[in-house]
Amino acid sequence: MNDASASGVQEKARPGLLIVDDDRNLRKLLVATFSYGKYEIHEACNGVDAIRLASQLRPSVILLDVMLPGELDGLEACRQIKAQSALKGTKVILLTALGQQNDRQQGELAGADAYVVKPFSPLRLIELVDSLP
Amino acid sequence: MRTDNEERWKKAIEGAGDGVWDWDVDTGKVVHSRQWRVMLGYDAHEIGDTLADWAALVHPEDTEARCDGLARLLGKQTEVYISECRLRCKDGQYKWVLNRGVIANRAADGTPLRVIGTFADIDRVKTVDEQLKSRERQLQEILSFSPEGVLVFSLTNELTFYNQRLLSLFGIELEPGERLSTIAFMEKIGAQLDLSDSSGLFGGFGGAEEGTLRLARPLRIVKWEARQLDDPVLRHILFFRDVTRETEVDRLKSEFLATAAHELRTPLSSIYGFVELLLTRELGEADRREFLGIVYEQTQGLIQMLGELLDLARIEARVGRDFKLREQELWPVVRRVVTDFNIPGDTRKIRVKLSRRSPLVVLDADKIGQALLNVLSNAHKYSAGKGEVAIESVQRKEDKASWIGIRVRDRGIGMTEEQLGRVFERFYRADNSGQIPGTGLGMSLVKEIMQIHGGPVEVVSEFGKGTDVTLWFPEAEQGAADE
Repeated sequence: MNDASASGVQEKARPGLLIVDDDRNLRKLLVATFSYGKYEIHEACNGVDAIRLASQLRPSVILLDVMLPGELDGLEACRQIKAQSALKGTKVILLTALGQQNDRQQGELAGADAYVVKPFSPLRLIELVDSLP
Repeated sequence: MRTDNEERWKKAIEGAGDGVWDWDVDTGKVVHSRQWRVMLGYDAHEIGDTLADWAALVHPEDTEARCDGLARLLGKQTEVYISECRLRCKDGQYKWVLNRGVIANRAADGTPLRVIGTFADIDRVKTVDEQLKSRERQLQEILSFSPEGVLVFSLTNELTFYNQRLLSLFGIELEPGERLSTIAFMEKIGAQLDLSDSSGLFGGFGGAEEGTLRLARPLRIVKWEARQLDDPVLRHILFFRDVTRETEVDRLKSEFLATAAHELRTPLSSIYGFVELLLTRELGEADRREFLGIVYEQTQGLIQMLGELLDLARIEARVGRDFKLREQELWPVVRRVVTDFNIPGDTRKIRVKLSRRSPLVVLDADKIGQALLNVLSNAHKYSAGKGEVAIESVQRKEDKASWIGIRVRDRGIGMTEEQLGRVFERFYRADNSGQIPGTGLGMSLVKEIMQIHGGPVEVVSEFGKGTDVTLWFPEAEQGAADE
């Protein structure tokens, strides 16, 4: 089924999915989760690259880790992405290992469309991404 | 007649229970009334009739005060003589009496010739008074040892009581004999109060029952509790407790738990996620093997983290009581770790350069082996493909102490100043990319183990150039083993 739908939409430009996480294994997991053909997948491992790739590729979904190394963490990256009018259609899902109430609020304040706490179910994550308007 | 008159009022006084005495200053003769003797339990013939006989009954501690009083009277400094003293009764016990005398007759030059006076039993009053005073002293003493500062205000906000602990808690120093007043107290506390964050002291007067004060210099957290009594003098009782340490320990604990939870979530995400994909997706053999490899690796990491956490907790809880410390040669311990050392896929040989004489050190060989293993693994992990890892012995003399160091040196990625500053922080990892496995607990464990051995861990690092880690041991004194 995956193969069929993948070849079916391959003709048109597929929606972009940008994965941002500094953990190699997590990136691999997210790539594997979404590599069933619907999305064109891109990866970044820090906030600066995430913003650069987002402006360049205008993906429809960004999966963004909150705890990123360097001066730009996930919350700040989310804020900057949401501030770009060219990226109005882009949905940002924050992924985080911090699950406190306060952290969730921070994510909402940064303008994230959804907030997912690690560890997460890959299948549920697909459902969540598909359900975003 | 004069005598009749005297007899009449003497009777009146004795009727009231007091004794009467009549002293002829020149002859030193003293006439006592019957009541005087009854009070002390003597019969008429048992007490002589001179001042000296009387003086012999006075308690040694009270003699001086009594003599002073008499001297002042005779020296014409005063018209009346008043003294409280203890007199010895017939049964050997002492009784408190109040003596009052006036000059009845004077010579032409004013020198007293005759003194008459009364004599009252004040033993009960005195004893109760003494008991009260000693009781108050005891209470003060007990309260001065109280770990809590105590402060009492009256209905009119006067400071009616405080203990020593209160002064030390707020760093208040008083001059000898100086008493703390409400205003002085408020001023001293006000100067230290961190007003940005205090649930206020004055709430205690408004009916609030407890609160917290933050003192700025030095930073201290003080909890207070207030009680209100229906007593005008003891209206507000406030208790102050220094909770700085508890607060800090609580904070560290919740911070540690939050960090630990965070560190567990990361490997669990890989495990949970990949296993779900393995269960629900048709995967090629290569993907399947790779995912299982990641799950295996991450599970291993979790097991290691759990082990290290438990080791840390055990060392902290037992402060080294389960360490088997024994004086022994250090180099065999080092050589054993080097021989057993093995990182799969890393074929580098460790270059070992130890002094010829193997120093004697008091240590637990297993624990030091573990510490050294952690340092050696770090040296390898953070220098993959970059030069050799070496172990060498170093020495340092300090006054009388002699220190032996084991230095592990790598030519790897090194650390920035910020990373170096956090190297012993729990769960801190210089690399977060997941490319270098680790728990962030290894160096904490090394530090704890070395602390039990009484030696520091020295870390010198240059970013991009490599890192030197030295475990320092105090060398056992030669011959100490004979003891």
